[in-house]
Amino acid sequence: MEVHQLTQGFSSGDATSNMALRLQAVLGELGHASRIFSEPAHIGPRERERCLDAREHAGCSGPGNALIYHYGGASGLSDYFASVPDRKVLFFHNVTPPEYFRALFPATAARLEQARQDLRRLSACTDLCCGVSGFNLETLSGLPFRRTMLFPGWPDRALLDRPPSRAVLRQYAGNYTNILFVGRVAPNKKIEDLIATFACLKAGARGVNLRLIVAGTYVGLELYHAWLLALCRRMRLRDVIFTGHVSQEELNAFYRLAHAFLCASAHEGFCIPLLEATHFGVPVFAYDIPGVRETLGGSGVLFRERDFKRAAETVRLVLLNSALRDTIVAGQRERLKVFDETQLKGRTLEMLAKLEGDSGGGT
Amino acid sequence: MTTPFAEIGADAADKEQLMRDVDRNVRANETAGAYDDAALHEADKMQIRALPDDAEALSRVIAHLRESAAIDIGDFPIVNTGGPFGRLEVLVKRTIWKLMRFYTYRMFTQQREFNMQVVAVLEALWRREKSRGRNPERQNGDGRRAADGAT
Repeated sequence: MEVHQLTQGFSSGDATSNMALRLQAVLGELGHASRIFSEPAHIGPRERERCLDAREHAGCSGPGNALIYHYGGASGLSDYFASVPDRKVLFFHNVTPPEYFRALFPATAARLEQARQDLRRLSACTDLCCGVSGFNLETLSGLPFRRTMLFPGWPDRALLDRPPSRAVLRQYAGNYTNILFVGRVAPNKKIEDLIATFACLKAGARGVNLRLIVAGTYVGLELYHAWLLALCRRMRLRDVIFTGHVSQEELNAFYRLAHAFLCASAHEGFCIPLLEATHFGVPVFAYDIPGVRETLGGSGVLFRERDFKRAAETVRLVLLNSALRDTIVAGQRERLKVFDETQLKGRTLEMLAKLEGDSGGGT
Repeated sequence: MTTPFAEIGADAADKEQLMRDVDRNVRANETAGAYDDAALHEADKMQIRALPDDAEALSRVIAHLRESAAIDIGDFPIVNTGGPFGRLEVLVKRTIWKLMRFYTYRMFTQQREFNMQVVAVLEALWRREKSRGRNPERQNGDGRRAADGAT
């Protein structure tokens, strides 16, 4: 059985694209040919060899094959996915609630609302739905998916082990304590809360050079970026750096430079950067939301309330106490062991077994 | 027993003591006036979900542009990045920066003028849209939504 994949976009560093590539590798090891297809307009210019035009999928489509659709929002690809005769897997990466986008990006909010209807339609024709977290699957409750299974995201250790960018290490060297956040600069990430927490941290840690690094793209979200710059200006914060899109090597350098990873997101399906930070031995601090709680699985430090002052002081005291810091990181490393390569292969086999079981039942 | 503010994933840690220290330090900082409450109030005001619509957001972003259009040419700290030649590097960079000032000054001045003009045009456009009782961002959104619905 060939198991091909359909993504809504494909670019270097994108979490969904990385997931598709890793699945492709595992499927290949298991003897299943797997190619990745996407809308041509959303394939990164350097990725044309790794990702094909979605229209080419028709040539390898058939009832004996399977198609995995990586879903993150309403897209023209949904119609195509619904129409193919292949066995269908919907890989649900989460859809952000539209209310986070309504004020600044009403058109995006409308598309997110449309995604809910899109999912209802797709649920009727999908053989299996994989959710990257239990929380993700819960958000789908009420939709008539025939079968669902948990298939968490995995940090790609091969990418994280690439040498860090020397230019970034050099640029940000110096006597600074770096607080890092990695993710798209999007309203659901609540960067404004991150900035407020950082301001409290600065206030409580006089005499320490502190820097907040927000590593992630803001393409298409420039208004929110401008909004955050305005906030920094009004709060008279100079040491907040928005890096924009970073390469894997640059990202690895930022993880190396980080003393703490701070996440203020209000909505996450699953949060791979928390696991990536763990890979680099960085203690993780985050405000408590279901997707983050599930990713951390009891490790790291979770703040139950959005109390910036207490959150900041907790970060400061943990960073000052190296024994406590090391114990927290050790707990995170234990958690990271859950997400190893054998588990990924196991989940892929489980997914294939469910699909093949389906076809057996149908004949 | 009250639920602690933070859940700490470390078995050996004295979590209760840590939380007590956190509360004590926060109170001490508050008493000492360490926190910039006015700035934190700004953060509260800029909670996006509390905004009625994108018109309010755009107004505030344009106001910010006005504040930041006059770029600060002294806004680039030259820091010691360590290493055996760190201090020398800082000295050399500062000297180069000073020597180049006659050249960069002109570029920065032009950039500043251009920024101010752009902001002035944006403000004028925004005032005109508001006086017409329309919101350009909302219109774009509705246009796209209509296009999505047509496909």
